[in-house]
Amino acid sequence: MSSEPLSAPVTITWEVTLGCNLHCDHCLSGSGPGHQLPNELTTEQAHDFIAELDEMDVFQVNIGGGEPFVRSDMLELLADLTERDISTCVSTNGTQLDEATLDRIEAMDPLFLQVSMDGLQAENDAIRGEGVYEQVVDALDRLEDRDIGTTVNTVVTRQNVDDLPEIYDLAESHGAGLRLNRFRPSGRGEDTWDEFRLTEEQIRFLHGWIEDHPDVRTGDSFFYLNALGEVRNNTLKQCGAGSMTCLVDPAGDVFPCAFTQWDHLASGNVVEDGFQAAWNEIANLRNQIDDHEGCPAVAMGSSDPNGEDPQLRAILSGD
Amino acid sequence: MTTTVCKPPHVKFRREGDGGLVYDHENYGYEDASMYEVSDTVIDVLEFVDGERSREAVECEFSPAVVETLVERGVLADVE
Repeated sequence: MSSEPLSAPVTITWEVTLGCNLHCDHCLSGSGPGHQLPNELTTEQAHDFIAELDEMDVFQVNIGGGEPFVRSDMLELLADLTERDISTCVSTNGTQLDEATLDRIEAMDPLFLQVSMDGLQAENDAIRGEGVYEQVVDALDRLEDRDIGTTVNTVVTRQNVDDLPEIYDLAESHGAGLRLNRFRPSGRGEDTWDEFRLTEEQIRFLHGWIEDHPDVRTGDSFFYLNALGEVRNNTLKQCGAGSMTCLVDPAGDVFPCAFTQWDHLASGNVVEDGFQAAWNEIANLRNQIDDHEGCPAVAMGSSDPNGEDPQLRAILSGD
Repeated sequence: MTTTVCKPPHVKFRREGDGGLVYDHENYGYEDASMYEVSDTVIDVLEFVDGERSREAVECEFSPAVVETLVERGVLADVE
């Protein structure tokens, strides 16, 4: 990319609420039932923010949470985004997709869904809650029936990495893609980092498996190498946090990415300062982000003494 | 017969201080879209096309080679 900061991000992640009907052990934002913040954006503030995103020509908005669909105005906000032709992707736990919701979603374009599944039944429900796996499979059935573009999203952990081949088959049988996300020490993941993070042997298995399944989406700097430490996808190498993308939290505070929501990396608030001002400021924070290879959030969040992404270093050096 | 070119709906663009960006989400979703840094000329073409315009007019304003290259890269498409 040009060294000059972009006038606006290419994509943003917008966590619209910390409320969620589930309470997953590894939740990156620490969401759960009753966790809504008192100062989450109101519907009017959210519409104003969307108008500014449109004015700034942000290409894509990735909606997350919490569970987005616990917001009673979520469909109204999605309609606003898509009517402005902003590409919109919603990450959902899949348990709130009733037929009326799907009726509305089906009519929106461009809109895509990501449904979380963190293992087969035993592993998924151990992390996400009893009975959730069956609800997600049911949601996948109904999304397939309606031909709504869907990706199964799996955060790879020590407990579910062996399930990947079967999750891949399950997603494929529903006409859905599979996307893998890296487990990071963020939110409740800080508390469960040592319990869920992959062993070195699992990291090598994972990278080899991805090599054999090129249609599996990753989109993460962790995956730019293959199991031998060779570059498999150079476009994933660069961390875009604060340079191409950023995170807006439920209260409208802006951070470089979803995994770097630390006070010293906040660049402004979309209501108090406006999003353009917060984005302009974020370039000044970029130099505070660890710039070693791999994911700065993992390096900073795991307090690695060498200031590097320890899991990536394991791939590179075998230590 | 007059042929027409258009900007496909899955292609988005914007001008930056130096050139511009083209964003193509045809391949779907979350960070899996493609994005390219492009020259001012590409942005000029996309603004000139403004959705849809006769190929002849675009070629006349820029060049047949530029139009053909952008069609080959999927930034522009022939209207059926």
